[in-house]
Amino acid sequence: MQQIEGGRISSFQVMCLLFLVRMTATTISFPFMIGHESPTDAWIGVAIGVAVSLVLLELIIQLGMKYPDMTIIQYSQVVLGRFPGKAIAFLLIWFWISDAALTIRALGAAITSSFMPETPILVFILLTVLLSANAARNGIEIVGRWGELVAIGVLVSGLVLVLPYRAMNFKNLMPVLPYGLAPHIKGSLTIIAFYMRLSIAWMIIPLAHNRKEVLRYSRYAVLLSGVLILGHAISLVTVFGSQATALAVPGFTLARQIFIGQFFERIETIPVSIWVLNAMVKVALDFWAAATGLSQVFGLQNFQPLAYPVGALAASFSMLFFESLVDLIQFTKHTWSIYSILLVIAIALILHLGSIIKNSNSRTIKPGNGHSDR
Amino acid sequence: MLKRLRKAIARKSRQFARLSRNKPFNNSQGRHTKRPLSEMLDVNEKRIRQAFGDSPDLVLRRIAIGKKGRINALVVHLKAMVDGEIVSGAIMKRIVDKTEGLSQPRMAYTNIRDRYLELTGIGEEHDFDNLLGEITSGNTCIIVDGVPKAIVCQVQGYAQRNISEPSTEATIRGSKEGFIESLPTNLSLLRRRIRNPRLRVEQYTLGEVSKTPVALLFIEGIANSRVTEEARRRLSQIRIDSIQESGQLEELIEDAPLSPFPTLLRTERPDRVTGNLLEGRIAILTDGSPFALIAPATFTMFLTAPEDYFERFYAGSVIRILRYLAFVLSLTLPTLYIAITTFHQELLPTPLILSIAAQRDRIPFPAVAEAALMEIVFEILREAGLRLPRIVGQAVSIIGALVIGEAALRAGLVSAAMIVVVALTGISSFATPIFSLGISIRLLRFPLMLLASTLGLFGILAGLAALSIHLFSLRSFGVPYTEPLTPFVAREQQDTVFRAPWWAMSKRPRFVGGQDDTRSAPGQVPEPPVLEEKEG
Amino acid sequence: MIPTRSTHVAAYVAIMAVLISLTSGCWNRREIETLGFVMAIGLDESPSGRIQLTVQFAKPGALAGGTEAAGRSEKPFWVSTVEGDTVFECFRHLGSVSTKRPYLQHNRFIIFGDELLKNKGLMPVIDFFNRDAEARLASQVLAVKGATAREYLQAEFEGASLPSEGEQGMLLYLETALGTISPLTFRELEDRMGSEGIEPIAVGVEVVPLKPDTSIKGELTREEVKSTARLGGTAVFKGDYLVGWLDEYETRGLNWILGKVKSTLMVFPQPGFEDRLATIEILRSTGNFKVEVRDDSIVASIHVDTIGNLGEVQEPVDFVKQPETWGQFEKGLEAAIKQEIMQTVTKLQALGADAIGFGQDIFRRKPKDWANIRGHWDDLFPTVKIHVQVKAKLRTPGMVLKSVKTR
Repeated sequence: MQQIEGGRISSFQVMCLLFLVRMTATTISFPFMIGHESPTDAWIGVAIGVAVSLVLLELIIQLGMKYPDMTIIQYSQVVLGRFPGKAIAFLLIWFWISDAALTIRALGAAITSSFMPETPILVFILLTVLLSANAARNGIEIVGRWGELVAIGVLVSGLVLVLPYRAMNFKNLMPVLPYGLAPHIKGSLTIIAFYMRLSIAWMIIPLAHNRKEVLRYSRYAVLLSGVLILGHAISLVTVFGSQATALAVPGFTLARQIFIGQFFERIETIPVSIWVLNAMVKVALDFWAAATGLSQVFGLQNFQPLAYPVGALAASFSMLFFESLVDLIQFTKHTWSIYSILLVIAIALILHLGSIIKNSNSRTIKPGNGHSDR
Repeated sequence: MLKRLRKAIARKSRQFARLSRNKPFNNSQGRHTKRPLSEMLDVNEKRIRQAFGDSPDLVLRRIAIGKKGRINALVVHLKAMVDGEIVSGAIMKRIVDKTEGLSQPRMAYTNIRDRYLELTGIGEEHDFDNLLGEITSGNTCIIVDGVPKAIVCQVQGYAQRNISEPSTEATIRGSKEGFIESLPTNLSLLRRRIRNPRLRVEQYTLGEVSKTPVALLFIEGIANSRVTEEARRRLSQIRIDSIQESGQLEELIEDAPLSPFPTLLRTERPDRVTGNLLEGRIAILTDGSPFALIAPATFTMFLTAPEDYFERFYAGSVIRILRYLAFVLSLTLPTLYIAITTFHQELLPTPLILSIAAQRDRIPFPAVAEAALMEIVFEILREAGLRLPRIVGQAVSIIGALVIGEAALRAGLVSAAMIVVVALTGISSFATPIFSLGISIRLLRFPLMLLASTLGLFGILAGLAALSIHLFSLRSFGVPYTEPLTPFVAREQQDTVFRAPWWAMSKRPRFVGGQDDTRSAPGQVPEPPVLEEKEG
Repeated sequence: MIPTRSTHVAAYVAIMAVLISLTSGCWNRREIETLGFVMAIGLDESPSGRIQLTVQFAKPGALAGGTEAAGRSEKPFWVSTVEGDTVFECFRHLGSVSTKRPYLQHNRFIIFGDELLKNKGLMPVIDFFNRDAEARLASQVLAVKGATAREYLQAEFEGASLPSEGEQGMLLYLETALGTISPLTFRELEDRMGSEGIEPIAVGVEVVPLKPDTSIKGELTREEVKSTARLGGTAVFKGDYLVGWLDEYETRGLNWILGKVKSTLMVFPQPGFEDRLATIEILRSTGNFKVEVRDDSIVASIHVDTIGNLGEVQEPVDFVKQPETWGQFEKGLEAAIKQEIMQTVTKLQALGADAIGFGQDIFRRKPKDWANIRGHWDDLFPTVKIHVQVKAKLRTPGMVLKSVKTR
């Protein structure tokens, strides 16, 4: 039967997905806060990061809007020709798979270090991969719907930032700029790096109902996540003071400080459950993008058979790449952030330039020749 | 394993289709082979007698009509299926009296057909097999010697139940009428509620042996034509020996045959059917079943009770939220008990957890076994309660409450907290208005309990996530099952968790209907009249 | 459509199968009845110089929902003590003396013995509580004065079945009604330890041995109620070592400065009668301080605002005839508060421990100045000049304006 909804997702769902893609790096692990050199005014770094990310977002989304009927896998081949285009496609697919591996591992590490230390991390990795790959296999519509609900949950879990009110001391936010701007520039890089994950929009844009709205909604996603990240940073500092930068899993530890009245405490499992779902949606989106991308590179009819293999790949990477939580944090903070910024910005610039040159040189090849949607 | 199962099902259905095409059930009477009626009355009589195997309830009344009784005629019906008074008064008497002056059989035939019978339901049949069908469905047929045709008089009359209050969907406010087993009566219940020619009824006869009448209902111009087309397609594909109940039909036409969730809504209530027809859905009524099927069904519909629409909207909304809560509780409460007592002992306040620990101290089983045991016992009690005769039912509930509850507690088999949990779960599961969803929830509880006992809350989380991915992937007649919660449709939130006042619900659901989506004129908020100044 | 759907179902079955097959081990699964709910943790230095851990377990059966036959004389808690080289090791050793696995999530108190704090300091014993997934950072920190934590954990409180509940109630009452303690959680303790220019403190407790004749014989009481405890005062640390104690009044002095006095009673000489006392009930107060770094000195100006009601006088007063005495009471109150504050600061300066956070204030408002002086703050703190300003307002004289007077 013909599907009435028609295999697409709404702009609102795009916003929710992009929002969730960014939030994992705050709720599950918060590399920005870990070891920050100037914790008392860390919010400055967040603000700078969000502002810069808004500008970079323009670069990312505008690229997608140039070829609104195609995914980046398709138009990179149109713009740059077959082989360079495929090279970029592979880079991005690798990026998504490795990014998924990073998230899966961070999730597993967070749960095992703070909730279930005796359970092997592999259990959580497999669980996440199975669920996410299953969702990815069902297609973007299902991931979109899932994301929609979870995003609302994550917004509600923003209460975690307020509920440890008894433990908050706003004087901890002083002094401002004791060590100058340098640590904040450094910190904002981490913030920006995780906003580069929004480049997954390159795969989603052709499937959005109303593509003109995508830019607006992705801006909302950046702002919304920015506010929440800011909230996390401020809440952590007001609650933990000098200890805020020492926590291995800041979000989870913050949730442990919830205290409502005399009765409700130790209910951190509830927000943490939502955050786990958040990470799962993000991983599902990564899987979906990688599987779709691969099927487009190889010209397959259907991406679905690739979902589980991609998941398996990510699961094994997540086990092989990192030795321990310390290793993971070091990698995320220092290697991955630079790598993701360079990769995404470089690809965006190359394709922008490529399309400008192409448009001025020849107008013979129409964009969107022969490549089917999905 | 499942794949094999699915293949087997497909193979069987193909075989069945072939079977029914080549070698139909109904003895030697194929569906499409035409056998015209004979001109000879004797031949016709013999063939009818043969077809029914000389059944004692077959009435073959030969009468002599026309001038001096020269024309032979045959009145045929099944004794138990017709209204005897009408047959003797309005058919037999009239035919004999009025045809006095006619000598030509053809004249007699046309006059009987067109003038003499004071009945509204008159038809004509040339084909012998169709004639048999008319007889079996309770019509009286008149065959005149020398005419290869038969007059069909609709004089069905058989015992049927009175319209009574629906037993599975009781309400406090709202209509107390429920469907019964008779399709014509059920249609009348709906026609009375929607007095509009646009209410279309399409009749199908399903079941190669049973020939059950099934009606497809929708409102032209409101229902989505793609949905009705799909329903027609699915109904006409059915090849089965009989349809005894709409549940059978449901399994044959639903979207997700292997899903634990129902994708068609089953209801006993005409007002629910009416409401859904007006939202652009279709309804399928089956003769012999007091349950109508509604499609496309979405998840929120299963948690809606008719009262929500008739009570004041505050009450309607709050009660509906309560029902959602009960739904969540009935699915997760025992699993939460297991997760909390075996993994997350920190979640409850200290005095409460200490009290549970004290109760659990003497229980010999692990929490999961305790919970599973009690849940199973409860399910048995419930099942037994349904099947037992009313009078014994009382005794069983006393035994259930006292023996299982109090005695098991005293014997140290289960903890008091567990009994509270089971009781709450049981009560909550009754708050689901549609029984078919309640059953799914009862089934899903057990795998979730297993998950909870392996990974605690994260197990429950994984289970619920898998369930929700499954829910998101479901569609009922092309409409996403979880619509309008997700994909989120802001406009339709008027009637999901909350119920907006009627004057605010001016649009019909978008996904479902899609043709004429104006329900009411906007701006109808009632206002008190402006009082004029009293003259002093 | 059918193939995809049934494979979804197949995927769920696969998930279930994987999970079930993986569940042969029990990992974090622990049935509730196998757990010993730890209500308080005590840490001491053992006679041989190692770490001694004392844990107070709740005995659920004796509390509620247990058998009636157990009787009321059963103690609702029991105490286990073990020795080890590290805290974690001690917890593992508990297994050899306790029938149940210690479960820390419901723990409310971490109690340190006097000797441990003086000789070993906090550092060697606190890390476990940070690192362990079960320990809660919201536990209250207590320091036992002149006794071991072990002795303290044997104490019982009338009216509360579990000692931790009794302590919790007393902490709350003292904090809100008297201000003679300055409660802080483990997280706040660590924040103080890790922050610039502030020293850790902890709530002081004392063990009060009960005389044998105070216990009533009979069915209602137990034979062995050895002691009860008294809360009040503050342990003052420098770095992570205990250096001294503030008594209850000095603690209140600290709370005035920090603005933490919610309600309390001030007793001071009644104006005009040096040997008689007036009592004023403080309703609320705010307090703050500001530290200024000048060229030659560092000046801390403390500002306290407070509102109270007259609660009791020992010599008759008549506000109808002599309304000017009202003002004298306010003055008297101001002086009394000021004196309490001065006493606290003097004591802390003598101990050389900046428990108020003068240094932190400089760091927060003048990070540049702090960079210059942080190296010799230990020397500078005792020289900080104090400037106290108290503004007290009295609301009502109570139900009478005039006292009863003997003729």
